Amino acid sequence: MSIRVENIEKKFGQFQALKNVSLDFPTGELVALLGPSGCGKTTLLRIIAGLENADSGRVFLDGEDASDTHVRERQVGFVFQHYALFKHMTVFDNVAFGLRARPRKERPVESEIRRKVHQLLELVQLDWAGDRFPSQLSGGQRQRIALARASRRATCFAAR
Amino acid sequence: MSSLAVGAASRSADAAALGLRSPKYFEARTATRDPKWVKWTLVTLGVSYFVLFLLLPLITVFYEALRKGWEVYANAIIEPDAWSAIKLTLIAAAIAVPLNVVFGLAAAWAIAKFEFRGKQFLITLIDLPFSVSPVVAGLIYVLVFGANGWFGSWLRDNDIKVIFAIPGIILATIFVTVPFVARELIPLMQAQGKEEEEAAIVLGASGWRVFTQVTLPNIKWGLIYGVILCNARAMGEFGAVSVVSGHIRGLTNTMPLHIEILYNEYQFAAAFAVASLLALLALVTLVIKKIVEWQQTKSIAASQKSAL
Repeated sequence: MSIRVENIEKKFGQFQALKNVSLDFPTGELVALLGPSGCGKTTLLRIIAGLENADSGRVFLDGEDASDTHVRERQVGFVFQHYALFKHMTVFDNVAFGLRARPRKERPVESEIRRKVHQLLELVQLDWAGDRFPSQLSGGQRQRIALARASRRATCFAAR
Repeated sequence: MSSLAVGAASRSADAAALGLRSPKYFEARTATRDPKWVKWTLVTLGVSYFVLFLLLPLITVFYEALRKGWEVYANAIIEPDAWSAIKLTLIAAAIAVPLNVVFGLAAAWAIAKFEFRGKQFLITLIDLPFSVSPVVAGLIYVLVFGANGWFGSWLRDNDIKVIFAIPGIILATIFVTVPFVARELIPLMQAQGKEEEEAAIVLGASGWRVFTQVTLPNIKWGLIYGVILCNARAMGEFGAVSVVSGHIRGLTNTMPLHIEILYNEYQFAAAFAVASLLALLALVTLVIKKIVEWQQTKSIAASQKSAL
């Protein structure tokens, strides 16, 4: 899935966070945004995910204009800076959250959810940790869980 | 004031689970260890102060209540006026507490998760019942709903009784208990921030799902704690309720008011009997509070322990 942003502008009060940013991320490519603190990397990712609205400019996901699509429908996988894992849920429930949150008619049956979650946990080599809570894992393990949770239906990624 | 207490309680729970900053940790290190005499002077001071001013009066209540035997005690409680006072107290608490839960959640949510004008004003306003004397609170309701008050004639024309009736008592109870739930939740929700909610929304969760499965579990203990404190105050409130109640026996007397009447009529045994029941309700509340804290510490400790 490709991502394209065109002429993104964003101001926080008087502060210009993003000024006329246009970027193209082709399908399958791994892109890193580098820059000093406060230069707008996170703001751009949040705008792509839909957590923040750009003052002007457009976001295209897979060629389609997604600028007015709600975060819920954008299907962007997003790994938060501090992972934002659900503290009170097991690793398994964390990863399953996205599947279970789907509207009833799109929601897979529980056995299918189970299979998919295990698949994702195997992918990040944490299949053994399904019953644990995030607080019981190391920092790196938490990061991998956040990655697995974000990729459960992800078509594209924005990790920060 | 109560929010401070809870903050401390949950912080110490976290710290204890981590094994850091607990008294044991401090005492084990020479750098932070105090001399023995400092420790025991402080312990003696603290304990004797609380025994003298808290424990002794509490014991006196139960002692005086039972001095003339169980029969007098039981009669004082099953007597119709006392019974109606108990019922009214429970009704007022049963209405005030759920209302404050809903309001407290809404206010804490608004303050912690949104930016808006007048936010500081709202925070200050929530604290008003802590700073205003309950008597003043009661008088405000008399001024607004009383016979000569703003809505007095309208209420009389429509045959609605607020002052010297149950609605007034419930209103006064709500007024004095407004801060408890909101005050508990605001610092908690502010500390937690919005990240987990954002994560849930990115994952496609609806607003209701985010609230029930992410927000609510995260504030569960704070909420329960607030409800317990709110309930304790609702049952024990005297001043505000006293002004609006009119002290009509068997109709608008709550337990604290009933106790005062009995005491003023020199029925000491009966007064202490009802007082002991009220104290018992408070003690039950404290025990529940302790169990909640204990559960909280246990759940944190358990999740930390199996990590190793």
